[in-house]
Amino acid sequence: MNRRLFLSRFLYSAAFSGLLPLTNIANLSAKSPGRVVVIGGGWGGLSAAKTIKLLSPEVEVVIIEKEKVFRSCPISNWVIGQIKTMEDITFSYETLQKRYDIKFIHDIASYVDIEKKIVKTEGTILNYDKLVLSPGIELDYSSIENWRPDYSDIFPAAWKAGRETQLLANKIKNMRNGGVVAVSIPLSPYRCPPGPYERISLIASYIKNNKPGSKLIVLDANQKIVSKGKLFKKAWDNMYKDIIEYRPDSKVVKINPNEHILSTDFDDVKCDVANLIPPQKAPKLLRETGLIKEKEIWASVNAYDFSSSIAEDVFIVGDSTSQISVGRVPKSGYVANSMGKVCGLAIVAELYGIKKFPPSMINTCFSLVSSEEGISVSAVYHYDEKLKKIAVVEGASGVSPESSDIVKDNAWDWAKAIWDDMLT
Amino acid sequence: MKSLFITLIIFFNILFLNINFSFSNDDIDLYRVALPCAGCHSVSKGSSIPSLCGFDEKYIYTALVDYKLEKRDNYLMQIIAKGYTDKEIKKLSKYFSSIYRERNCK
Repeated sequence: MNRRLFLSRFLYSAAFSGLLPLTNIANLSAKSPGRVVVIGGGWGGLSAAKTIKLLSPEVEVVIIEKEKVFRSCPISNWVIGQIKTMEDITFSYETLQKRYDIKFIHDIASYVDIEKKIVKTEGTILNYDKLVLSPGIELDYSSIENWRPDYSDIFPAAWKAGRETQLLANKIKNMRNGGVVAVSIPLSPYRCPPGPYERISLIASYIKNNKPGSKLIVLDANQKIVSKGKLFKKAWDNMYKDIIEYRPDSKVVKINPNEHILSTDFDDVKCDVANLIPPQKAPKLLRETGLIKEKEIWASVNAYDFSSSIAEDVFIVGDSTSQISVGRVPKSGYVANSMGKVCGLAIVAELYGIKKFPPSMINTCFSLVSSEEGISVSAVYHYDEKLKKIAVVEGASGVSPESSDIVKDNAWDWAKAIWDDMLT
Repeated sequence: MKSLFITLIIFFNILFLNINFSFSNDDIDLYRVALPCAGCHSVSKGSSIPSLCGFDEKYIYTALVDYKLEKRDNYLMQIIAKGYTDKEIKKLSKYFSSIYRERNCK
């Protein structure tokens, strides 16, 4: 047995040093220590799956994801701002699947039984030893009067990368000169705090150069810019003074699809192109499974390992987790990626009955303020033993000094690196 | 006592469950601090964010300490390096100098 262990370790380290393809070591396994089912092939789910396989190729990992390809939310604003295409942010799952021997079921997970430890999709039933839920967000239009699902063509949210991203990009491109774009922002917390402001900057940058006389009206339900406020404001004052009209405390409560009107309690805004980003909450599956506490809209977890505070052997990562339980971390792609890694390591430790270590996480969010320049915010997080939550390591948070073209290059290279990290 | 207990559990797991271990507690601890760095630092060259391929342990250690003390200039790494203790910086240097070997780099 010792020789076998030695051989396994040798081959594993050889694989890491590039001497062997990683897939070879999967064949060594005599018996799998368990099956991990991951619901959601996004930033959190992919990172959890890959981390488990990096440490222990013997664990069976199955990802349930309805989409056949990966479309990145980060950088999708660049598509709306006409500097990248959907093709640039769409990737295959194939490399991840083959290199790490991860199974994919392209279906919708419709039911989870946390007692029997079963997941049902439309086509299959799977039992699990550990379950990772990384289902992202659900758009919640219940507070908007007159809303109907088919109005998403008139008022696209484009808050999950896909059809609506392209639709909004097309609407901006085809808008008349002297047109009005309206972007509405929900109350925080929502997915990607700086996202709406980057989008506004990129639309403003595009219409400044291509649609003379056009305006952009921002209806922000928040009292001020939620993230990187000073940097965004400075950029807007410098570049888009005649284009962006920012209205804080302006929550959209009603729509009129025939007249293209977004209404707040005070105003009606008629526009040529509307981007209605609605409030958000954890998806239905989490509610139906009983993983959301009463009167809450996000899932509670133990911040040490992202295990559910309600069900055993269930882990929840990414945007659907509650900040009340996790601590003050943003609902960003980088954080979901970091959470997936923490949860992946915890699952391996549990499956093998070994010690868990406290989480260590990073967040960096790059945002463009024009087609040429960007800004960023970063933090390193650790586990605060007293609060039992994730907290910023003292002194380890901050923003970029000012907008620059270097940050734009960093933003694109960050995206390429983190896509590689999750998909290859 | 606790570590003896853990060792025993691992031993019995290997003996009776026929499970292969290809990692240790130390590995998990290294991964814990190092994996989040891969969100920006890939193995590919030609990026505005340096690949961590091909650097030795001492170089990475000195660079991280200098970022932390703001003796080395970079708007972002000065923030990030402050997130780690000296012990963790040592782990990061060990991880990136050993795992990101030249042959693994594109």
